[in-house]
Amino acid sequence: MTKSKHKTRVLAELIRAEKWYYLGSVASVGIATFFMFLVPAIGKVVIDKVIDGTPGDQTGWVDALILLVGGTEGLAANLWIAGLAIVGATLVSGLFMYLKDFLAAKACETTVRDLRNRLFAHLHRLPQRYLGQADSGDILQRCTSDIDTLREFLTVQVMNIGRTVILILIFVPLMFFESVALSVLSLCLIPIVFFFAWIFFGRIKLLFQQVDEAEGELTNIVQENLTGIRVVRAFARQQHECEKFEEKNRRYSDLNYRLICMLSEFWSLSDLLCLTQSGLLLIGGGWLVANEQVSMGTYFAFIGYTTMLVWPIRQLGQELSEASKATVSIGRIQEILNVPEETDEGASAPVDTTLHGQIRFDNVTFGYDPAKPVLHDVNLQINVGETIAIVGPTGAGKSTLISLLMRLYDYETGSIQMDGVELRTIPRRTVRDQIGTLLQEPFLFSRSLRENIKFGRLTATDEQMILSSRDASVHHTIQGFSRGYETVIGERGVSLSGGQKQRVTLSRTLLQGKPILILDDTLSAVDSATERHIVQALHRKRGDQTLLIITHRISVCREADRILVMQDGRLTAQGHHDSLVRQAGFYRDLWAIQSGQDQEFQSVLEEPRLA
Amino acid sequence: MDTLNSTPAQKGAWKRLFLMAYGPNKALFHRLIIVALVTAGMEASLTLITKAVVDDIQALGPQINLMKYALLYIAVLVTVVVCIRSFIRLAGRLSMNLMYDLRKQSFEHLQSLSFSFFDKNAVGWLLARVTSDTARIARIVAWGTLDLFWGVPLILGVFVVLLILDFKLGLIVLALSPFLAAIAWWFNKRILTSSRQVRRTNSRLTAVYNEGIAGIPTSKVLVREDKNLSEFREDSKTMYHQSMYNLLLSSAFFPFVNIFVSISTGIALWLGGVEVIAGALTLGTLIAFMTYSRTLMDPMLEVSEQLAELQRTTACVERVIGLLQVEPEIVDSAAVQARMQEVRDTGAETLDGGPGVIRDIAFSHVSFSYKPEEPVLNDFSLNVKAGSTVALVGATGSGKTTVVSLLCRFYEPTAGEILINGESYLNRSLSWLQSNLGIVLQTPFLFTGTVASNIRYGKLDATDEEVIEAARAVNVHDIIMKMEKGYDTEIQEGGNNLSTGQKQLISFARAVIGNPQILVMDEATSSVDTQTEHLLQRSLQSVLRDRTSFVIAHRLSTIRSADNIVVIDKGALVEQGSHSELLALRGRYFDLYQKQFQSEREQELLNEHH
Repeated sequence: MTKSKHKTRVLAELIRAEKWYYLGSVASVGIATFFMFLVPAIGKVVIDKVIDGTPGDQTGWVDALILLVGGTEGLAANLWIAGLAIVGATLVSGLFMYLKDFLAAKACETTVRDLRNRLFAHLHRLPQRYLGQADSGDILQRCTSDIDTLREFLTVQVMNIGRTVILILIFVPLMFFESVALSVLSLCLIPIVFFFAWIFFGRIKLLFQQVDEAEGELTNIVQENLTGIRVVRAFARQQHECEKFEEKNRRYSDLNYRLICMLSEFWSLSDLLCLTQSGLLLIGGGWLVANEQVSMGTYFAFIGYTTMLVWPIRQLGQELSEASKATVSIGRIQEILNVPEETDEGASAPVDTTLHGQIRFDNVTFGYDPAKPVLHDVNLQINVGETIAIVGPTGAGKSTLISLLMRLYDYETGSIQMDGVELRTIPRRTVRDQIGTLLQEPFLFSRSLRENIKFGRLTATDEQMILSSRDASVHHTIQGFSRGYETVIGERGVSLSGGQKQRVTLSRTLLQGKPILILDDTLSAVDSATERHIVQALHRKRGDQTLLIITHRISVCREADRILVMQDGRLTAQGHHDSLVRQAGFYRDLWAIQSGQDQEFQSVLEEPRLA
Repeated sequence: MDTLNSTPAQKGAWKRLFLMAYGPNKALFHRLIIVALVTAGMEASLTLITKAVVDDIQALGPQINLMKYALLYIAVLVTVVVCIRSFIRLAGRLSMNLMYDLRKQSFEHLQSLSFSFFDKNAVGWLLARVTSDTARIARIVAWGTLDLFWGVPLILGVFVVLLILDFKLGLIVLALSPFLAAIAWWFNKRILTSSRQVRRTNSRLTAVYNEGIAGIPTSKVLVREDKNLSEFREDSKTMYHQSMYNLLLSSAFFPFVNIFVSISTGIALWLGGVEVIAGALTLGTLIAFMTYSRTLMDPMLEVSEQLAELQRTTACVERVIGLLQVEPEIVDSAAVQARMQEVRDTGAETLDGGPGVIRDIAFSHVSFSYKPEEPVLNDFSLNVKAGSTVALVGATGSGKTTVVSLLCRFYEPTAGEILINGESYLNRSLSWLQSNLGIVLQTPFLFTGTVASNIRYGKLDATDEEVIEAARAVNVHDIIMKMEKGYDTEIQEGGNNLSTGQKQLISFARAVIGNPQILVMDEATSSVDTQTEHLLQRSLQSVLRDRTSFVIAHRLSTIRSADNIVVIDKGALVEQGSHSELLALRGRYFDLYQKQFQSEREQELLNEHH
């Protein structure tokens, strides 16, 4: 597995891409903070020089400014200038604060958006071998809630942490520059506040987690009860359910209250610290002013500085200790991104290779788990334009054959050739581009039927769409819906029957007009008359199209040029219907059952009939 | 109507909620309000201490008695800290009590509602009412109360102090504050709306991801990856813009407020400064003015946020109160309830005083429809003798399930009667009937918990021996013993760690452990492996023996062994009799039977190598 060394790799890369935005926001916050500092400083100067009429504490550039507005007297006569300066400094500070937020939001949101896009694209490029065994719920969680955690981390925590750090970096030196004694009085408890918050939230993490879990359990109980409400009723267990719920409800509410109590200790104690800090400044500073160690204006300004510093620093402790949550999420996202994508290594054939549909398997042996082969030594040859039916019991390896052809999985032993070219050397997309397939499970997207059918060929005209729907015997069904091809399916729309779904997916595939068409037991939910009708239509129009049909229906097999019988991963018989029914074996047994020639069935029909 | 999704605004929902919340929590509310008021008073007075210190410094210089102020400050500080600690606890207690009560009431109320209600309301929708709506309501009621009773008095208190300190200057600060309130209100409303939109888009993204992941193989074979991605990019771009907007709105909010505050600080400095120079105002008062204009900001922001949130929560309150007001459709009649009262302490054989043994059951001209215009069952009549097995057969949607749902009184007939021992079952109590039923549903639903606790669900006080006996009766004992922890094996959510066949067998055991007089079963259609199939059939025989049973049957062996086979088509009974009688008729049953026979033989052949 990847070590933590790689943990933040992708994130670092994405952040680096937006580095100018991030740097710009740091610069803006610096400027904004400086102007924020000026507001109490202006008050200080006015109080000292103008109102109090004392020389005040060290001056320098302030004196120069005052001279500009006509010296102390001039300022006293036009005190509105000072008032305006406060508003002006706040305005500039606000503007830069907004600029910082804008730049930071742009940077963070771009990072998150790019990560989302990258994950989505990456998922589509993962090999089927990985996707087939992965837990899709877990993948979904990594793509959604872990991304959310990360977004929260970037937009809230990093932004706040950054702002507070810059606040400290700018305020503390300036404060010390103004008055060392007052700085000590207004800052001495702040490190304690910070560490208190940091340690407290580090320790309380477990309780937070317990509360989350208790809430999850409560939700599960309700969800399970509502999902199984018919069972609850069937056994008249309402009382029992209420007791189960009661226990979880009580537990959650008690735990949460415990958490609130802990928090009440934190907030009150940290408030005690913060207010004590203000008190120290008030009394200690008051003594200094009364004894003329510092000026009244400086005293006033420090009261303002402390307020601006102390609350964000308390927040900082909390945010730092909660930031660790995000590192877990980043790790989980990185893990998915580290899964290698499907590659086209060894694909030497040109990307635009056109296939005609000649297929050849030579001694192909394959297993999803190499120790347990699903296909043993398969040899077969399919010619351009042939219609082939493949029959066999469940688990005989029919679908695996198709997965190999589509390059969803790669074979290791033996050889598969298409038009005489080794399949492994043809790029995956080229292969898939030329084979029209319907997977066993028809999958439709929650969109309109038109969009679903044109899903694989966006440029198709409506005429072409209707044509393929006719061939798939679904056009009339669709026209029967009140909104026709505009009917939206899925959760928020119409739900189609299994057979309807299968025919829509068939229409979707037919519309693509690929040289090779594979139907993997695709029409099982369609009644056999319709299926035969469809296959006849396909067979008639086939031209150069090679057609492979996996089916259980004898009526379909009859339409085929050739039938391949597969059992236990082996090709056990092949030939035309007429010759296969003459040999004892799977095909003949199946035929006997379906045509009512089965002996047991015959004996049932002989059972008594009323006179 | 039963559906809540479209309920119009419930009139007086807030009032009902308030009565519900206030009643049991009077003391908490009162204490919270008192603490909030004290906190507000103390916070307002902190600045006054600063003012006094400054004035004393000016007046007395080094002779100032700072000790007095230090003690005063400590007293205020301690009070504030104690208040903060207790209002967090009080509001926490209050919100937990409320959440607990609302959840308890809505959950328990849901348990009493009829099947038809659950047909119309999706699980996810109801879940959100019980969990997130209640949490939101509890939060706003408790913390909203606190903020209101802290914020409003604090604002008013500061105004009063300012007016007393300097009337003219006070009026100016006061005149500016409505602008501040308006800005806060304007922003809060927009921020809430925009946050909601972000959440909605976010769940849409989740849905897109969900579908995207499920559809990857399809996208691959259709070579649609690029187009998928570019569509996804559109969605993530929407999310990007909305989150940007949301963030920018929040970031504009604070500077705006700050500028307004600085305007009043600036004016205080200007006009107050002039007065101080003229000697009309003390420096302490000027500093107090400049500090107070900032003190006002916090309560104003808090109050306006809570007000905006309050407005948003109205929909939640309406939904939860609406849910609590839905009346269950199927309840014991007044007469039955009265009789149950009467016989409660008489030691009668049954809860409602009626006979305990079920001899025969009859459907007499029963009709039923879920929606008036679509009749599901039409004039359906059937007599069932005690101890016999009835197999219901027919196409999907023919009305088989409705027959058994009516029998279980999950729904009641719209016309006609169902008779037990010759008496309409509406004259018996629901709990009596349902406690005599054992029901096996088509898709076996198991609860999280152990295997044993799932079997025990059919009889809560069953001993371990009884659980094992029930498991043996349905031939699942050996299977359970082979599991890692036997009867203590934990069943995961949805029973995902068991095979379908195992789940079916366990749900059999659950149905028979209470030894019900009537067994109702919807036979599973999903195919299971041959060995489990064999076990299922054997256990079915033992379960059905000598018990009045209704089986919605799909398998030939079940159908053949029934005493009476009832063929239903489009809500009407079309044929009934024994297997050989019906076969001889060469009618509907004969056709069904042939088809089923062929398909079972075919399944056997296709699965023979497993």
